[in-house]
Amino acid sequence: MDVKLTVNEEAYETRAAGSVTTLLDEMGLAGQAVVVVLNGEVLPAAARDEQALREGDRVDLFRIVGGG
Amino acid sequence: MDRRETAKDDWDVGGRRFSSRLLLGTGKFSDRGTMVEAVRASGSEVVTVALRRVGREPREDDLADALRGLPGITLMPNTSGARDAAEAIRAARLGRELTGSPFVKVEIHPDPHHLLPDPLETYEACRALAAEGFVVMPYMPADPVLARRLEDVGCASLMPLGSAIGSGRGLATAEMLRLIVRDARVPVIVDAGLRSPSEAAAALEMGCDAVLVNSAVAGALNPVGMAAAFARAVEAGRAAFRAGLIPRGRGEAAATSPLTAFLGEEPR
Repeated sequence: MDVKLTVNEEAYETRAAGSVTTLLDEMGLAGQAVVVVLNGEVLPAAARDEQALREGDRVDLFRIVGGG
Repeated sequence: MDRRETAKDDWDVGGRRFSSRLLLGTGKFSDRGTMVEAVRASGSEVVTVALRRVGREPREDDLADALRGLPGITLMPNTSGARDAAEAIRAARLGRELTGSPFVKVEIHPDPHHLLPDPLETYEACRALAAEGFVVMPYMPADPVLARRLEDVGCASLMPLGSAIGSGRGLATAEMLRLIVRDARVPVIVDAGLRSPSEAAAALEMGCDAVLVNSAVAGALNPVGMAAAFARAVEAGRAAFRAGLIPRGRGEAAATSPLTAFLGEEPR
């Protein structure tokens, strides 16, 4: 069953209800250096496998870019 | 403090010791390979990075891979994009999570036209982040009063602007920088506005501890060559400061050769 999320402020439906790690895999971000903010709280990387995503969750993903 | 004291000319900030006095930003480079080569050529040991939301193209802009090619470099995430203290504090926490680095360049500039730092929000963010244990490096107006206040709340350095970000207007704030340098108890790093290596040298000659450049290198015709030029200028400026410049004169000449008794004539 699809789970409706908000990812980076846009509607997003995951194909499989799973963990944060599953979502990152699905988005093509496996193995990349991203920080996950779940419902406004930073999610430690070690907790991604365990953290299940629920309907309505808000996920924000950030990465390093060039900057001065 | 007397910046001439140490025999070996390293400097300390946030409990780390550095020998290079050139810090480099990683923005605006045409490609990641050039950025990495420029960092190498600059000899910089501290580089700034920014944080952004992951875009629709997952591979775009990802700098993490490129930075792995620069072992031993201290990453300093900035809080650019933050419009107030709360946003900057949030950005700083994300940056620490992402890079593992306690260093943060606090950068709060609400107006995109001049990008000048908001002194009140900068102060509030610095106070909170220093209390959380960050190594706080504020991009700040060249204001000696604010400088003292930021030191008092635990900033690890002061990073006053030379002129507006990316403007290439050099050390427009020179007189204020002199006052900041005279009284500072933490390193002073001129951040923003520099265009040429000679301006970087001038900052070091006046006693600044380091400079941070980005646009001047990234926007040069040959960024790697310009990075090397800045590295040499910073070394020269620092060496000149340590060697002790002569006082600035009032406009009259002071002869370097004897003026007396040349071919039996006295000067008129």
